[in-house]
Order: sequence, then structure tokens, then C-alpha cells
Amino acid sequence: MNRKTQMELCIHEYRISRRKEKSMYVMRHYNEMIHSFNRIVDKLIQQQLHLQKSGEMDEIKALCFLRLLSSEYTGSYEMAVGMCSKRVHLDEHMAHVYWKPEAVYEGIDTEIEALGRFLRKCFTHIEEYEILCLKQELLADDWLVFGKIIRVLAKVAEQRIMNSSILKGKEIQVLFGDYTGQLRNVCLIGADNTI
Amino acid sequence: MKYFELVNTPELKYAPKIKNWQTKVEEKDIQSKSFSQLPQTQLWVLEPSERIIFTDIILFPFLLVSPNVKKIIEMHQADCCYRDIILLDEVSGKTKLYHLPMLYETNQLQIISRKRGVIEGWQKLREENSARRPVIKSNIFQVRDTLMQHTIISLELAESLLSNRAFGIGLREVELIMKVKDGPIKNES
Repeated sequence: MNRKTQMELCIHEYRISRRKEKSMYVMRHYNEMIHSFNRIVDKLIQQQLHLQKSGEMDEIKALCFLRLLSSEYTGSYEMAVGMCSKRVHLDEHMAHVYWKPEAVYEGIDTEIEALGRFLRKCFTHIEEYEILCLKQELLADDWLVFGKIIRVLAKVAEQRIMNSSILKGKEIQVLFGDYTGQLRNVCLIGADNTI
Repeated sequence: MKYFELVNTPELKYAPKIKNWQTKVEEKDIQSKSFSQLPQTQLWVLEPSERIIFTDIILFPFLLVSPNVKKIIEMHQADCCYRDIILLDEVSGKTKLYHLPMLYETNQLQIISRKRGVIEGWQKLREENSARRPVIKSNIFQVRDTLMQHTIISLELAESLLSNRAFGIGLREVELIMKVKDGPIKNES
């Protein structure tokens, strides 16, 4: 068994309980997140209106939540929230804004420090880069926690998008995934009884 | 679009260190017409070290990239020339192929670095500087200031590298703005 696998095993239980706690924490602080998410949706709508007026964008067909691995490296923990007119990622058909859902990433740096201390009890010597590798695992968990509230966020966005004057398709797909990866269709907004 | 500077990271602690690198290539050769005169392949010996990890990126003294990273860069930036560099660890006898890229370089841009964790202030700063933001079509390039050369990559390239699990990538988010000169601001294309 290699060292990385040993470390992953060592934090396995910790990750499971952390995910549960985080999910509960996010649900408790859901209202604060909605507040900042509303601002993001409004900003996106404004951006979209501008692009549609200038003819650079057609009617929107998808709302995307994209994980940015780079933001985990820089410590900004932002994702890209975008609207696009075709189901393609990150091209000229998409406008996006960056958003950090505070409740999901709150205290992550302190958690990593605690994780480092915990691992140092199990391993006599541990390198900083090894802790960084495990940090990616925790952040992947956080992304999954965030994924669980996408439908609720989509509902919030739906009202604002439908009440806005942007050109939109009859229904809008809500997509979720990595910036460069395959996006998963979570739900539809705009269509009857789809959320 | 976000841009990042490639910076040092704990992953680079055991990255290969090149022996007598001052005699290998002069910095000006990588940026000028003389790049074509560099041999297609060179063998560089490494400083002896107890532990060497062949990271996907080496930052010092020149940017060197692994074949894996080269492949990813080529998907985003086709017009980039490379020279092959074979690194030899004399202690273990191991060799590893790297590539020395010749990147577009500019001294017309000013770099503002984002401090870790800053959100509101950074967005404000970006908005304030939006008029001076250049149009950039490269996904990887270098910005020279009075002190040093900075390698800058686009969000797209950064995400591709990270999703392909490139090892040894340190990133710092930067805002790139045109330097203010006496005349009007010119955008780069």
C-alpha cells in the first residue's frame, strides 16, 4: 500500500463525518447563501441582457455551476456560475460570474491546518505537498455537499430569470460539474413541475 | 477571464535542480530569434539530491514542462516552439524528458497579484481596472517587469492542467492591465 493510500485511509472516517456535518451546516446557513446567490443571479442577468442587446448571445438555454480547481489552489474557492445559449462549456456562448458560497468553504484553511496536525500524529514525517493533496480530497467533498443544494438554488434563480427581460428558452437546463469536464444535468427550470 | 501566474508551491520542494544552469541557455536565447539556433535536444545533469521528484513543471531557472503538460499546452496554444531537454540524475541514473518552451513575451503589461482569500476587494479592483484590461488571445505567455519574468496562464489552461492532475503547479491569481504610457492606452491582440 503506498503512502498516499495510507493517508487517504487514515482520513476516511474523518471525511465521512465531515461531509455530514458540512451538509447540516450548509443547510443551517442556507439563507445567508441565498442572499449572496441572488446578487450573483442579478449580475448574470445584467451581463446577459447586455450581451443579448449587442447580439453576442442568443436566448439562454442553460444555467451552469462550474467547479474551478484553480480557485482551490489560489484559496479563493470561487466557482463559475454561467448562462449559456448552447450546451457547450466555456466558449463564446457563455457568460459567467465568479461566486464563493461562503457556507460551503467557510473555515476550510483552519480545517486543513487541523488535518495536518491530525496526520502528524499518524505519520512521523509528512510533507506540506502531501497535505495539499489531501486538501483536494476535502474540497472534492465540499463540491458534492454544494451539489446537494443546486436544486434549491435553481429554484431561487428561476424566479429571477423568469421575471427578467432576458431572452430565454422555454426551459433552462441546470448543469453542474467541473469547468473542463462533462456537465451533469441536474434539473430544468421554467418548465412546469420540473424542479 | 481569470489569469494566473505560475508560482512556487510545496510540490516543487523536491523538483529537479539543474547543475551549472548558467552555462546551459541564456535567458535571451529563449525569447529571441536565437531560439531556433538552440540544439533540438540537450542533456542537462541534475544537482545531486537525496530526493528528486520529477514534477510536471519546473520553474527555475527556466520554465520546463513534462511531455504531459506539453500535450495539454498544445491543445490550448498550438503556436509554441519547444526544445527537448533530457534531465539526468547521476546518482540514480534516471533520466526524464522535459521541454523548454519559447513563449510570447511582453513588457507592456502590469501584474497585480491577488492575495489569498481576498474576495470583495479583488472584484472591486477588477472593475476599476476594466478599462485598462487588454484583449489577450494567448493561453500561456510571459510578462517581463524590471525584476523578473512571470509566466502567465489562462483559466482554461490552468483548469486543463489541474484536471489532468499535473503535479507541481503553483498558482497565483493576477489581474493584467496595460501599463499607462504618455500616449493613449493600446490594447494587445
